Amino acid sequence: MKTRTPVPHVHWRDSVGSSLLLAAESMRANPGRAALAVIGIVIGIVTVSLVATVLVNVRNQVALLFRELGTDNVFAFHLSGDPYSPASDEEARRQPLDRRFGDVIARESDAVEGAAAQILIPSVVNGRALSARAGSAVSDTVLVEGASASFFDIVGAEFAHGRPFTDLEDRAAARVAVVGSSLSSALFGSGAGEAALGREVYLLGEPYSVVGVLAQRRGGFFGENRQDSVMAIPAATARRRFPDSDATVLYLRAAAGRLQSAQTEIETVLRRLRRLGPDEPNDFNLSTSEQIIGTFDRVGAGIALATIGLAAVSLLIGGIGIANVMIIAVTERTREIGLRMSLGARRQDVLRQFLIESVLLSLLGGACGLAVAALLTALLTLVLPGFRPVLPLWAVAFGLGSSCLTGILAGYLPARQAAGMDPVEALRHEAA
Amino acid sequence: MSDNISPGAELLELHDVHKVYQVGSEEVRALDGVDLSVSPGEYLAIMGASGSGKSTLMNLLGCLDTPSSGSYRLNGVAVEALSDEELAAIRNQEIGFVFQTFNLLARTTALSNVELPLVYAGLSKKERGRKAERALERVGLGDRMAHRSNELSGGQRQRVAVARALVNEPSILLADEPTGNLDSTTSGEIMELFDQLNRSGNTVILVTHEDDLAAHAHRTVTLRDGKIISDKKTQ
Repeated sequence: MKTRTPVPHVHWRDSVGSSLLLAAESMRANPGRAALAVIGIVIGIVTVSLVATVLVNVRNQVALLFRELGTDNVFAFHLSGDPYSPASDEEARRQPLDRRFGDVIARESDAVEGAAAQILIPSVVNGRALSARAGSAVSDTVLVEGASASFFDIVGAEFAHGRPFTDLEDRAAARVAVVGSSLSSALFGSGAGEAALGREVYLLGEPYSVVGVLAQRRGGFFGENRQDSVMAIPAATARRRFPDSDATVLYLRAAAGRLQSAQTEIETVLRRLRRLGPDEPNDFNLSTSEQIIGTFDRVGAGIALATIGLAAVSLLIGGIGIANVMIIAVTERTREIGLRMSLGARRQDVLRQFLIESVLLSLLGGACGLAVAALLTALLTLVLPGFRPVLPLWAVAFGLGSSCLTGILAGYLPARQAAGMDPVEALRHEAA
Repeated sequence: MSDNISPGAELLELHDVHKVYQVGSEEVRALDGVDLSVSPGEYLAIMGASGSGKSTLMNLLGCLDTPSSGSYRLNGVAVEALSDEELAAIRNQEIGFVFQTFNLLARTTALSNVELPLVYAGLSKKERGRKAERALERVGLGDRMAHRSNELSGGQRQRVAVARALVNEPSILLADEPTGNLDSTTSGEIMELFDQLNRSGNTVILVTHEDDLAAHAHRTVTLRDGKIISDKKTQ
């Protein structure tokens, strides 16, 4: 008489291995059905990974863009939103900040060690689009702004050629200009380089002499940075030539490690300069590049959440597809289930086999989705210069994790149906 | 699991076994008071017309099903009291099934088919391979191990199935019309295989309705209407 093993158990590696074969087998036997089953999952994963890649790219570029304006800088503006957008009704009544406030703050606040002012000139002045002209070359994407002499130092601007304008040029309202790299190329040819210096650029019919050309910016949306089309003229010149444009951004550089206290001190001084009573709210807005990036991240997180919701719907549809295929598979293989039971498979062995198949099918869909997403992001780099096709790790993890979960959820009922079969009935089942 | 094994016990012992199915409002008595004892090493044929209850009896003997009433002791273990999981273990360890339709996994190699019971027994890959090879050699298919079952002839397929039934060294080989899908020459070969396995000590139970098949066995039990109507030694 032989001794009986109490209850045999199947090692998971064996069931994964054999289920892998079986899953591959059933997919090969009916590739169309398998493709239909996983298409929902593919779409879901593609959506999530594409949005994730784009978000991460935009976020990195936004971060770079604002960090290029100085990570130690506090920006002060009389409105709270985007300086180039129209203000809300309440904020529209606010007076722009005076460009000389920066120097007052720098003098009075310990934590502020430098100040600069930037005057924003709209691209349409008196109903006419601003354009810059040099000889026969014209650029109508020019972004004109007034800048104090200290501006380039405060934002850490890099010069490819020439120099910033001087304090004297600012005070004298000289017609000099520092131009961005794209503008220089547009007006003087892409190889102009140093030859741009001393050339004249016409703005509203008046000539400005180029004293500096900026290096190309690193940040920007998909390789475009409007700052590369900038034509910076002295702030005093801007006030004189564009008297209606007085929207001023103050750049206040905090001493190393004192960004927090700088913000408090700037607020105190600005409130006094703006003559605000103790109960009146601020009529200006302070921000730092990290705060702006933080705001963007909150928007990005919202988009990411919405995408995940969208993906959840795709995964649900995908899950229904998987469940369908599994139900068909269980029915078709009823006899096989009976056979396995007759050979000693326990109900949990059968359950596990079909669950593993379902998960493998879903993971296949997830992997296809990731592959398609990788392909699409690679294509995006061809269309969008500066776009880096990095699929963030969390998107890969989410993709594979959620397909795995979908497989378990979708496969559970069919697998339980298989596991609950009566072996006698199952063996008697006619092959389909 | 009960373990009161009396010495010299029969391999299997059925006592007053009933199996009743409910078909709609009607009760079908598939087995109606069956008593049967089989000793180790016997070669038994179970005969009967269709509907006589022989399939039901085979399912009970193979522990695929449990009796409605009565007792079934296999190797001293009271089968009627076992859980699904314990029944699966018994099928794995004690019973070797051979079916009329072979029931091999198509497009799977002979070796993998034979390994299947060992997978459920929890054996290592290496040991499975070794045992499955030996079982295939025993049925004369040592040179067909890597063939997929759909590349094999009917006789070869049934040999693979016999190897699969043997691989776990079960107490009973339970064959249900094992030659039903084979031509007469191949049938003869398969029956020769069973004879040979019985000579080397295996207990063989054949379920069939063919007299010339039953003639291979040493004892024939005939069923009608769920009752044993004859039980005689033939050799």
